[in-house]
Amino acid sequence: MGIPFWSLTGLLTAIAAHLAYVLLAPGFLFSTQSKLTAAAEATNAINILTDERRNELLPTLRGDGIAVMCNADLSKGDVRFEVELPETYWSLAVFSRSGKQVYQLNDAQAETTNVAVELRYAKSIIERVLGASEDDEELVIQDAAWTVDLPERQAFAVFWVPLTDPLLREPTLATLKKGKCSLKQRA
Amino acid sequence: MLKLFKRIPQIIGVRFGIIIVGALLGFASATYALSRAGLADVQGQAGWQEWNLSAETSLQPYSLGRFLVDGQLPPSNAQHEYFRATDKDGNALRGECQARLKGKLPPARWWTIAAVTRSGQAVSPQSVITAAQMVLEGDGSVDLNISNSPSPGNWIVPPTSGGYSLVVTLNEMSQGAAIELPVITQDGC
Repeated sequence: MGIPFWSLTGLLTAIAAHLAYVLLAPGFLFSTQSKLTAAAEATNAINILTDERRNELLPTLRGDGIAVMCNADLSKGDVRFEVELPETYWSLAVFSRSGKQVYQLNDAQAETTNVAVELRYAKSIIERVLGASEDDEELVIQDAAWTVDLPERQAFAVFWVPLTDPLLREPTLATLKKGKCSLKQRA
Repeated sequence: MLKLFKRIPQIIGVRFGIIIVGALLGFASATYALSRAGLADVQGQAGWQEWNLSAETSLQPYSLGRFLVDGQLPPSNAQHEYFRATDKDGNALRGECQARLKGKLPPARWWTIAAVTRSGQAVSPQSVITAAQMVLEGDGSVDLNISNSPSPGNWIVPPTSGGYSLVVTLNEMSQGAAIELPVITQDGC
């Protein structure tokens, strides 16, 4: 066990540390940072992001526009995010707590201005086997909604509505504030 | 035997040192890679770059991680961000200079052009122009002045001094559209 062995050991340690940091650290750091800042956004409630907060969390959403966020906590059940949107371009992106995008939708795909999205935690196969009797009550069937299965129990769903005219800010804001982000009722 | 026994702390020390150095090198290379590895040149558009966030590339963990370590969410899959920090001659874009962006953009449902700091922040609302605000040329191309002093026509304000980047963000780009990005020139430095 001479120099070649220990050189190889050092190299393998470097590769392991590199991969571990790249694959695990970003999600962990985002998750911890978003927990710290999540105090700014109420859980399971409509949050209209200030421009400052939008720049911090979603820096690629630039220009005059309104970002509406549902900071969803799925630990107590499915969350329904429902918003009335203007008849202009808008987009929805749903991110898991670790920052990976899991869903997207826009005005052309939705073909409606009253959009409801149901966010639910997709159990792993092991969880399904172990907890077959748990949480299996039938959900109340509500009006049609897009359903998003999430790999984690927390998620960020963000509607982005760019404004074509500054005068549209107040009426758009008033409409968006009427939206709901809440736990879905069970039977 | 006694000699070997006496050398144990030294041997363990060296081995432990190798592992520590290896781990530090791995950590340093990962930090550097997160800031650079996901960057890709836009084909046929010299100077323009983008973060390769496609799930099909092995670089995705790097480009995605770059946003997450800063506590930011990455651009959605519907967004394409193209940016550059140099003019067409390869000179760094600087707030003290007058710059002009001229040319066509790929067709998209919504877009913005912003002058941002090296960390990606637009310094003021006047640093961004949207599809709704821009007055297009007759052929649909853009002609935009980037300057700290008021300019006629379309105009945005770059960071006051030092280097900056120009970012073109396209939302819902037309499928299969050719990527043709405007040319940026700079003078009056």
